[in-house]
Amino acid sequence: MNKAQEIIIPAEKGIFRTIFLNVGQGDSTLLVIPEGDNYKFMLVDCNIDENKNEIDLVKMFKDLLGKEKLDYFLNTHPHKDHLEGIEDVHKEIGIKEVWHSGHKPKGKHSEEYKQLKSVIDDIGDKNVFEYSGSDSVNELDKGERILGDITYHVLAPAEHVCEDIEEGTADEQYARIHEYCGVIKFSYGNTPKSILITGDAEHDAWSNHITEHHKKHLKSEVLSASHHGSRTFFMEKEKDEPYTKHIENIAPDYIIVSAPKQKDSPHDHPHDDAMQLYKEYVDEENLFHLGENDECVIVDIDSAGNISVNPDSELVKHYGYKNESKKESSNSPSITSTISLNKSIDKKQFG
Amino acid sequence: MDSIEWFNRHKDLFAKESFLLSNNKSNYKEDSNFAKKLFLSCGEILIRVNKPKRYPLLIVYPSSFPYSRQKVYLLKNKLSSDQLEELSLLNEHKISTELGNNIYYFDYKHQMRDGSLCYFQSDREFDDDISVFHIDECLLQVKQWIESTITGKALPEAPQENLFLHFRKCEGDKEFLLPSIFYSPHMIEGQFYFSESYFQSNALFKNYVGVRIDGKNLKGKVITQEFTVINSRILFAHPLSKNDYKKYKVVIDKFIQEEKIIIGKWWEINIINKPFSSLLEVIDILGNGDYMQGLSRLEPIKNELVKQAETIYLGFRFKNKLGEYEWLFFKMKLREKFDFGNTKFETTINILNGLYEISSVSSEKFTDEEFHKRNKGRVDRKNIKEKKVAIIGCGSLGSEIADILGKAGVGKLKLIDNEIIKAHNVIRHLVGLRLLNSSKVETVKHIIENHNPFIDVKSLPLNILDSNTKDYLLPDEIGISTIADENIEGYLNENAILSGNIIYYARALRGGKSARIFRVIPGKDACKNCLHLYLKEGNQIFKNIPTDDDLPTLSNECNNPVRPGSAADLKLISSITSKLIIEFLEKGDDSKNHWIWDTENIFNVEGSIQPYILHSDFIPPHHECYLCGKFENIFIKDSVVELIKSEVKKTKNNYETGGILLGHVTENNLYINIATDAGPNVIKSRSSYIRDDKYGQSRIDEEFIKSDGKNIYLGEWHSHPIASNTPSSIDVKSMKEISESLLYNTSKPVLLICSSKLDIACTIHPVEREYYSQNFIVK
Repeated sequence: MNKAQEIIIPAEKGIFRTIFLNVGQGDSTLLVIPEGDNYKFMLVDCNIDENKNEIDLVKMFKDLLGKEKLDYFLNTHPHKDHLEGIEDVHKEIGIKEVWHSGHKPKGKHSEEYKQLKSVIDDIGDKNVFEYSGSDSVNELDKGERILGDITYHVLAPAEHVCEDIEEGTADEQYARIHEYCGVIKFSYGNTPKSILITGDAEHDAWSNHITEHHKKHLKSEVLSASHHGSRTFFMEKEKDEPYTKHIENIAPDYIIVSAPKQKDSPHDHPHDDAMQLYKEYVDEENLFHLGENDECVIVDIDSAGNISVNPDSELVKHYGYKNESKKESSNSPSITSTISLNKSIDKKQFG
Repeated sequence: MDSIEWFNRHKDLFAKESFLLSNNKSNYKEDSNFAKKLFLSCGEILIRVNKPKRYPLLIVYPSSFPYSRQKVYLLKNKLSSDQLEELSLLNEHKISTELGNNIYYFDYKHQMRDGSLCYFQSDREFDDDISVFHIDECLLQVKQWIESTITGKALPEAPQENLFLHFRKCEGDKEFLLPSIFYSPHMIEGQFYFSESYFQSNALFKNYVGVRIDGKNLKGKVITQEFTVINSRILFAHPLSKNDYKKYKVVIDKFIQEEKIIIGKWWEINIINKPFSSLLEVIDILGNGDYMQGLSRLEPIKNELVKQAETIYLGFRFKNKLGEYEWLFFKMKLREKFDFGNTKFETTINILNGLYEISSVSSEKFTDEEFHKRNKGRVDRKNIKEKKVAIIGCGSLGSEIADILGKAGVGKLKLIDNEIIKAHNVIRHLVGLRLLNSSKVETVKHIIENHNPFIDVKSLPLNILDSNTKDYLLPDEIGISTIADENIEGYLNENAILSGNIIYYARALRGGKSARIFRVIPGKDACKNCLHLYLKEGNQIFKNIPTDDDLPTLSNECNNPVRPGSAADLKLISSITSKLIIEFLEKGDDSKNHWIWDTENIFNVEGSIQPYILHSDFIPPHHECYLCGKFENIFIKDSVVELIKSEVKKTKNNYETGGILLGHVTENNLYINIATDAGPNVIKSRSSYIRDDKYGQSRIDEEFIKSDGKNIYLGEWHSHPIASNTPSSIDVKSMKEISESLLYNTSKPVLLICSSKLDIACTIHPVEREYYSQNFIVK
């Protein structure tokens, strides 16, 4: 058993494991889905920037899967930081099935979509699933659906919203890409526990289409913070009155923010005001900022419905890019300097 | 000033531990720490299972750290800095008491009675890092443990539950030993019976042995099993059969009153996951979560509960992770009586729940297999369970050898000695002063049985000079002589060779600084007499160990030589001897038969035997030994064979014929040079021939003179008118008489038999031994 298999595949049968991977300015989450005695793997979004300590997904999957292909790739929306490197993954590993929101940027924006399109073209339409929430006819919720032994519930995009967006020009469509973004809840266990994947879904998508429509199904123990901890989850711009109805209903116990260290983010992600708001809903120690500690977070849900959340530094250690960005001072201070018990040496007489 | 604490001595380690307390991956957040007399840390561990929750902890580094591990107590509330400082001035054993009510009991396995958590110890020797158990590892275990209390998931642990240790209330004055009858399948619930055992060590603690168990099977039929073990008389005071119980009810009721006998009810259940303390939890366990079913299974103790009996004993049997049965026993004790009036039983449960206090009773598996388990891999009980060994001489060596063999599990031991234990024996003997002036074999037997009740020990207080081995050794019994007396061992040797018993001889020499151990398989190994012959002829195959003049025999009263030697030497020699015997019993390897132990380098000159290394050899029988000597070769002259064949051909009517064999013996070879004919006065028939003795003797005399005394009488030849050339019973009888008679000057006469097909067979008939056939060479 190699390291990837050791860390990623649960030692027991029947565990739904979610690994929030440290990929810097972007999202990549690996779902390990129980199916009887076996496991299937779904990668939710992909981002390979090759910065130090960010996970080398290709290397990791090679170890994990050997000669097998990746079962599913799910894209929340076709932005570069959710798709970067997916072509390499497909080329090196192979992808059996692609799930996406159906949004296809056009005109000058189609560049962003190129990587996904090449994968889709390669595997063929019959292996592509365009997911959506409530259908366009009566806006009826499509409800929970089954994937292996877990269930998933598409909360966004709703079909009618997609249709509405599709009517606009290429530029208009692209501007509303975050409204077209997938928001999906994955659940497991006798007393089900859930993980909410939000992509970059922003406050207006939530306030206009999602929160009210899905109020009853929002509750999730683990929330993947939208848009890399950006304030856009709560507000249009800094100092606006925050929208919080969604998070009140989600009522998470744990929040995962997939973003680099703030100083390394071109967008200053995660935003301080957003982080402050998150802390109103979970304790600071249950708000995980992946880039800050250069770690991944592993969430396990067992068949009874117990959920446990553990940060992991092993994946970064074994599959993180090693290139030095800049000389950093060592994280761990020298051991002896931390002792505060003997504040100073005492007087001693010598003859 | 007191001796300095570990953290003053191991400053680097202290620094590392302090660092790890504030920088660990287990989410332990330290509030404060103190290093006064003890080093303590108090803080909270964050557990992210379901709702995240913080659990206050107190970590105590014992004075013996890092050689013993940190203790972790789970607390209800965190300690203030002042409280922690105060605790830091205490002895570690006072911490639990001082914490008192603040200890958070999970009532879950692996939390000890003092509130601290158990660890899974590694028992590797010379681990890397000298097995310092750092706090980050410790906290990881604490984290896993708390998580398992939430999820119910099993921890990485031994298959045995050892759950007893984790019950908060336990009976500190008794323990139940569970013989194999408690593990027989096909029973689901019933009654158990324990009897006070004889081997209890003190008045404050009582051991009980399970003497009987009744159990209903799935069809409702009651099966009764009673414990019968070879040495039950040393195990339990009151055997209790089904019939006894009916017959002696009054006595038995009195015994129950005095807790000499304990009777209780038992049930087979699915599993006990965690410790419990109330009747309601018992119902939950019995019903496997179903209250009504649990209540119905309570039926066997319903009467006792209704009557509010003072004590009720309960037993639960369940299968552990290996699928093996485990037991837990409980005592329910009535706190106070309550007047229920006419209330229905079902509605009194909640009140009864408060009236009874439940405490666990320690128990241990006590089966033949379990008892010998710790010998596993070194000596396998099943290989030696049926073996019989007689210890001949129960002195300082013999008693220890007997004890070791008993502990190894040799199935049948026999102790032979006719002496009694005297005060001067005790300094080197297995038996102590308490048993002075008792028979050695009886006292040694008592001690061995006390060490292993699963073996059969017999005592024979006899003097072997008054007996023949056939009287005290069974045909397949191996003897071990530690008598250390040349004459007695010589007698034993002769007897044992003749009876065919294997004997080991062990003797301490030079005050125990050396020892000689040898084995005699009759006919295969050099016997004691052979060794004498080797010594006499100066053969280097026998290594003589000179006596140490500084350590002469202490006394030799009444032919009982007492030689010096301390227990340190004698126990070592006993162990070596026992080890050799066990190896032989188990593996039957007979490639070596002679061992010398030396601690002084007395063989320095030859250099072949090094001190403190057991020297081993194989010494074959000596050819001149009257007991086991054999001819290496038998040569028969052509003329002898021709004469026999022509005599046989000459004889008519299928009659038998025969004559005398003459020749000489050199070294270890037998030469048959001459065969005589039958002589004129022979009486021949179809089933026998009777020789002409006068003719025979004249031929012997004639050939003796003719050869200048070279050719002498060696044996006989005769024909069989049938195809078989093996000796008949008449032949064997005659040859035996020849070997024993002083008229014939040989104790190993040879016999040649020629069949009707003219095939000749050769047999040797040594005195007092079985005859054997041997090939010969014609030249």
